[in-house]
This record gives sequence, structure tokens and C-alpha cells, in this order.
Amino acid sequence: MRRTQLVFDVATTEAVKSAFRELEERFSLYREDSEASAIGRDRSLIRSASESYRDMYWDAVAWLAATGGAFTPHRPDGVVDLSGVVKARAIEAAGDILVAHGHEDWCLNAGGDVLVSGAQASGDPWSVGIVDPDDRGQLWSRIDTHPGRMAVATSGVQERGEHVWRMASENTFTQVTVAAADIETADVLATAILGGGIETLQLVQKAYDIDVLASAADGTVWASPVFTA
Amino acid sequence: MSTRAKVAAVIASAGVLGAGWAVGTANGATVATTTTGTTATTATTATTATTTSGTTTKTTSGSTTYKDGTYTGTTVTHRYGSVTVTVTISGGKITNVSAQAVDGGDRRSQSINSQAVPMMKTEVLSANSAKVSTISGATYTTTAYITSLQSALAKA
Repeated sequence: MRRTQLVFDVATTEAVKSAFRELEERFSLYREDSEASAIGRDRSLIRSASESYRDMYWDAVAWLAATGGAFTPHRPDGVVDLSGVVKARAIEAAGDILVAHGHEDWCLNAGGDVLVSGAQASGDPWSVGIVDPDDRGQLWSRIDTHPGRMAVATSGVQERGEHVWRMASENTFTQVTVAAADIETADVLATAILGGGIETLQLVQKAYDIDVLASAADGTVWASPVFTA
Repeated sequence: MSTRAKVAAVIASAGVLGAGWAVGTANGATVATTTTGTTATTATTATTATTTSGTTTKTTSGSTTYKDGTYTGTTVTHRYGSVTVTVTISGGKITNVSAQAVDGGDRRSQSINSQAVPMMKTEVLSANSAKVSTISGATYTTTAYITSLQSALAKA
């Protein structure tokens, strides 16, 4: 069902696949035999979990605290879901491996999360497009990457899952893009702001060096200066 | 000595990543893409390793094993700074990778007054689709964009 094709030399390819495989074996909730699934069925197992799992778990809990609860690994049904941080860590690991294998200029897009290194062949920065939340077939805005903004993540209501339902009110965000120095910060804060709204936006942008483009259901937008025309 | 950026579009699926992922690096010579559950035509070169149904076919260069130990790469300077990577090999496999990055740019000047303020949607900076390298957000657009990019590069 899955077809994987990677263009780098065999060593790089195998290293990236190996890193993903390890993360998937431990953290995938789609695998019944993963550590994450076992803990999902019995949360008391966290106490005796692997160092790798506990490290990821406490990372997620730290983000819970930092976002005032807007980001949380605790699903309403009680299952611990670390996918928010695991995804970012996987992308970071892939990026580290690319660099370790001598690739300096690249643009990695993993399920919509973007991490870049260096620049394009022309010397221009990697430029990241953002879709129009009202017409997802159209590009709306963009941001040029640079040190401090090498990672871009976008959260939308479509990605929040079928389990989450909320009433769209006039000041509810329907799409949030965050540009940051690292992909975990970008990813977590995009998710947090989408869920927590303006209050969360104002809380986190005081504490983190990020650019934000957030659009609300009523058509208003909160945008950092880099996104202004 | 800015390295010639390499361009290749890749989509691979992995359980922890959700819909799919893509790597674009500027190479000019190699391109590959894949999409979950669909048959994707891809352009490949002789050096590309391909995998179907989770198995890896043999490449002309054969398999690679690493010698156990800790290795620090040379500090690589790129357009925006430099990176030094340390890799640990154990049991012939990479068990740890850490990277130390130094930003060449002045981050402080970029962060001044980046607080978001409310405005109208029409006041937001427009994208120039010709200049966009990739698209943030897991959408069908992203997949379509990358597929299109791949087919364009296959012609290049």
C-alpha cells in the first residue's frame, strides 16, 4: 500500500527510513504492538515506559504548560496521544540526518510541516506558500525562510480530526500558520493557537520568537508584520 | 562557496507523519515522489534507491554498514550559517544524531516587533506561485503541488 522512494544515496536513505521506523514502532497509535498503544490502553504504564517515550511525553506536557493547556497530549477519551510532538521530532531527525550526510540545502515537507536548510540554487531563500483557508485550491500568502524562521507549520480545522467538534464563532480561528526556528515550536504553537484562539496567540507570541498568520471564521486575520502587503 | 542547491521532490508515507511527506532539495538530476495508496509515476536516476511495498530493491551500490563509534562531521557553512553534526553508530546503525547550528544572520533584527495584529484578509501579503518552493499545510494542494513539481522536473 505504501510506496517509498527516496532520492539520496543509500546511506542517507537508510538512515532516514531507520529513524522513522524506530519512531513509528514506538509511537504509532495505529500499531497495536507499539509502546504508545499499550500506554493508550493503560496510562499507568507511563511510569515504567522507555526513556524514549517518557522523554517525548514530558516534552508534550511541557508544551501543555507553556500554551496554557491549548496544546495537550491528553485526548478527551483518555488516550495519551503524542503524535503532535512525535511528528515534529521525526522531521527534525530527518533533517539532522540530511545534514549529517552532507546535504546543506534542502526543503523538507512532511505532511504540510516544512523544515528547510540553506537556500535554493539561485541563492533565493526557500519560500513557503500558505493556502487560502476559504479556497484551499488557491495560494494566499507566503513567507521566506531565514535563520529563526527555518520551520513553518499550518494547522487547519480539517486536521483537528473527526473527534473534535466545536462551534465556529466569529473569533474562532480556522487556520493558523506559525513560522519559527524549529519545527516542533512551529507545529505545536500552530495547533495550540488554532485550538485556543486569540488568547493563546497573545500568550505564546510573548514567549516565543515566531511569526503568525491566523485567519478567523468571520474573515478577520491576525498577522505578524512579515505577512503584510 | 554556496553549495549548488539540489532539487528533488519526494513524498513518502509513514504512520507517525500522517498524510505524507516530501523532501525537496535542489539537485537538478534526481526526482522521486510517492503518494500513499496510489500509483505515482516517478522520474528516477540510476542512483536512486526504490522501495515498493516496504521492501528495498537492491541498488547498484550495494548495502552500506557503518563502523561503531562517534563521529563528528566537518562544520558545514551554508548561506545562513553553519552546522556541525555528530553521529553515533552502534551495532552498525545510526543510534544518535545531534546537530549544532550557528546562525550567520542577525536573528534579533528579525524578531523586533513581530507581534501579530488584526487586519483584513485582503491586507495580507500575496503569494507569487512562481516563487513558492513548497506549501505549508496538509492539503490535497500540497500533494498536487509536489506531484506537479515532480513532473515538471522530470522534463527538465
